[in-house]
Amino acid sequence: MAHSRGTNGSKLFTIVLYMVAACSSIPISDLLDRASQGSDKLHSLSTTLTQDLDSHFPSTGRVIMPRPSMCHTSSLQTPNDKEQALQVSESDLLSLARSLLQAWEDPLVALSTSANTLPHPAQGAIFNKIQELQEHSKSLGDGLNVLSGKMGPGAQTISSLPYMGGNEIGQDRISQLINFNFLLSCFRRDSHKIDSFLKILRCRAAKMLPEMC
Amino acid sequence: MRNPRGLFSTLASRDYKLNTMAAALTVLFVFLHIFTFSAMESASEQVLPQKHPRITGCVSTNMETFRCRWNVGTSRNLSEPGDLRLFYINKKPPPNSSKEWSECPYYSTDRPNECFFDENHTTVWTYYSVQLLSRDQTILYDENLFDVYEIVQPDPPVGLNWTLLNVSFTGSYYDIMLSWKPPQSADVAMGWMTLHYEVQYRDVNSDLWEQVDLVKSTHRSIYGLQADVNHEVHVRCKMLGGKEFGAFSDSVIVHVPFKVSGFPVVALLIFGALCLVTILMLVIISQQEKFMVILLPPVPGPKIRGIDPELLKKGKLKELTSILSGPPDLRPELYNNDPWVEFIDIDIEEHNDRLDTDCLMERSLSSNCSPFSIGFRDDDSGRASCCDPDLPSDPEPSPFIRLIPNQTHSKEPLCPTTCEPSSEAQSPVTGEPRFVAPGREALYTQVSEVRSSGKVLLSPEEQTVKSTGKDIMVGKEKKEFQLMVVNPDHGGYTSELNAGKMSPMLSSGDMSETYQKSDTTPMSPLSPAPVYTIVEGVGRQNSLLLTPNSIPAPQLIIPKIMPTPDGYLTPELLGSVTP
Repeated sequence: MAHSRGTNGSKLFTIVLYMVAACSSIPISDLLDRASQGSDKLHSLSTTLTQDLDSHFPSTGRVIMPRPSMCHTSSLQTPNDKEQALQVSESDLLSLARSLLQAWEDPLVALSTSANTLPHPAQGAIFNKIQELQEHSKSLGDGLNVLSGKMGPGAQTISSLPYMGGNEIGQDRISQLINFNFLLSCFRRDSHKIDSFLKILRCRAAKMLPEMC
Repeated sequence: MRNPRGLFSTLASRDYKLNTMAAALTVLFVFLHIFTFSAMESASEQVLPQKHPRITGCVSTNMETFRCRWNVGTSRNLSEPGDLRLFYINKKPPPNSSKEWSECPYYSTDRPNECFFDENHTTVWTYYSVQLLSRDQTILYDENLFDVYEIVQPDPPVGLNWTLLNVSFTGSYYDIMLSWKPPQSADVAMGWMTLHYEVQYRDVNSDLWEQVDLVKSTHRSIYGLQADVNHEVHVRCKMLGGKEFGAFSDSVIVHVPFKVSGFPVVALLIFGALCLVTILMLVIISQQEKFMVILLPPVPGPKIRGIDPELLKKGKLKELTSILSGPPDLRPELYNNDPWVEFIDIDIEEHNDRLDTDCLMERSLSSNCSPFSIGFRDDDSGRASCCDPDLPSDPEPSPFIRLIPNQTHSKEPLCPTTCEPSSEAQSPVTGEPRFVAPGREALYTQVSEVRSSGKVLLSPEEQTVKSTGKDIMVGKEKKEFQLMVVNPDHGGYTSELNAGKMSPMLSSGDMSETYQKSDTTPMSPLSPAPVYTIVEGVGRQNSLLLTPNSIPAPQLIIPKIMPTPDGYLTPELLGSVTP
């Protein structure tokens, strides 16, 4: 049932895509390609940032890591495996990606301000990378906004995921580092989610261009 | 004083005691060491440094399933299956979160000590906590915490293949294009996984692997592989943003034999080059003169025609340089481009004293105006000099006689007594276009004939009137002047032919005759347009040899007008020349 719904939805999507591609100036597949490249970059940056952070501290902090359910974006219902992800409609996928991206606007600011005074040997590089993350996040958000305008009303809805952490991430040195690490791991997971959703969308839109996927 | 011997004896006895004690202690220590060693040995036999069972890692190949592996360690009583158990808890988001630990859903059968989590038990972007427990779950050996998306290590790519791109010119290096397919397990088509590939290659004989940058596509070119050498190539992949690479694919051996082209290209090239060079040489040699002209155009000789090459031969450089380096105001005149006629050529060195206009006069016959035969060996320049010693015999009308009242040149003393136009001063000059109204004493006219008697016969006004309107009218009452009004535009030499014709026919003093003669003679330069010609040399009987009258009527010399580079020195200018 869900599977047939999914195939019907994908067929409809393809038809809509053809129509939109015929009318619009920039085809959606191009836009999706660009967006997925942007999310590529975002996730790679966050990975290198985590590596920088871990380079001076062993990953024993993983054991004492706060639970992932404590990420402020955990309340968003996202697909958890491939089957579920392939059944979600395109506009829903885009809406999820946009919501996740929007949810990280404020926390990135908090990360940035705390990176200024982070007691870490590679503090300067970390701070620069956070700045880059903010820029890429902003440009990706703009791109997704443009994309959502072409993909129907379902893509317009953005779930609100407020960040309650404020700008302070800890009082003492250890808690600062732990909270910073934790926030960054949440961001890495969410950036991987965004990247995966956009890649799925891209490969669905690129059925006429098999070399993309 | 004590007995030293006694002291010594006590000391010696004390020493002896110490020695024995030390020896005993050392023996004791040795025994202790031996004992502890043996004890330790026995202890190590019993209690090895215990290696507890450990989880070696949890790996996912496709982000849909994963496996966890552990090793038993060194404990003997855990070697049986079931002695170790894996429990996990999946910290899903709140709606589905379970607080209970579950056991491994499937213990692998093909491999011991492995737990396989299938799709139903795998969720991505959730934390898994895995624990290795003893059978009775009392002992926790190891624990692991991970998210599935972080533990992805894709399977190796399959279908590695290579094609030859091109071979170098010499045949010793070549380029290949590698291509492969993504692993079967990774769902790349739906975009669930995005892979980056890394190619490595090496010479089979060396241990060092060459790395190529990561690519996202399933093909890659390798440049500069050496021919006749076996190369080993393999490729591996990883997830975008993943930490670890997957395993390497099977290696492929690339071998391209060194192909000696049956066509000796190099030899052919060398042969072709040699042929070309030979042909070029032949062409150049056969056309040598033309090439020499093209490549090295002949340098024009010095055009100062007043200079006698004989001077150069005789080595009289002083005169030469004195002529060449004239007064500064003369210099600019040497570079005039006006195409006009030559100046009167003055042979300064030898005829310095012959520049008198009285040579033209009758008087000069007996004087030193004897015909000269020197100085006219310059074949390429025409000469017409007012005071040419040949002139008396070969009348060459000089068009450059200016009638200036009472103006005498230092070098050219007038002969007022002999000259019939007594009031006029004659000086052989370049025709200065001093147009004097009739009635004035200064007149220009054209010399039509210089007779052997020294008389200069001028063309009358009528002729000049006919030629151009610019001519000065010389009235018929001035016929006694045997000078002609010079037409500044069309002064004219006459050719030798004309001169030759003129001389026997001329009668003295008859202006009209001369006029007629000059009229009848094909003095084509005068009637419509008098034409100058160039004196080529001195003929026999001191006659001037002139070039045929093919030169169009050039302009008359104006002293202000600059002479051509091969120009003559006018008598007037010559006056300013200080030899």
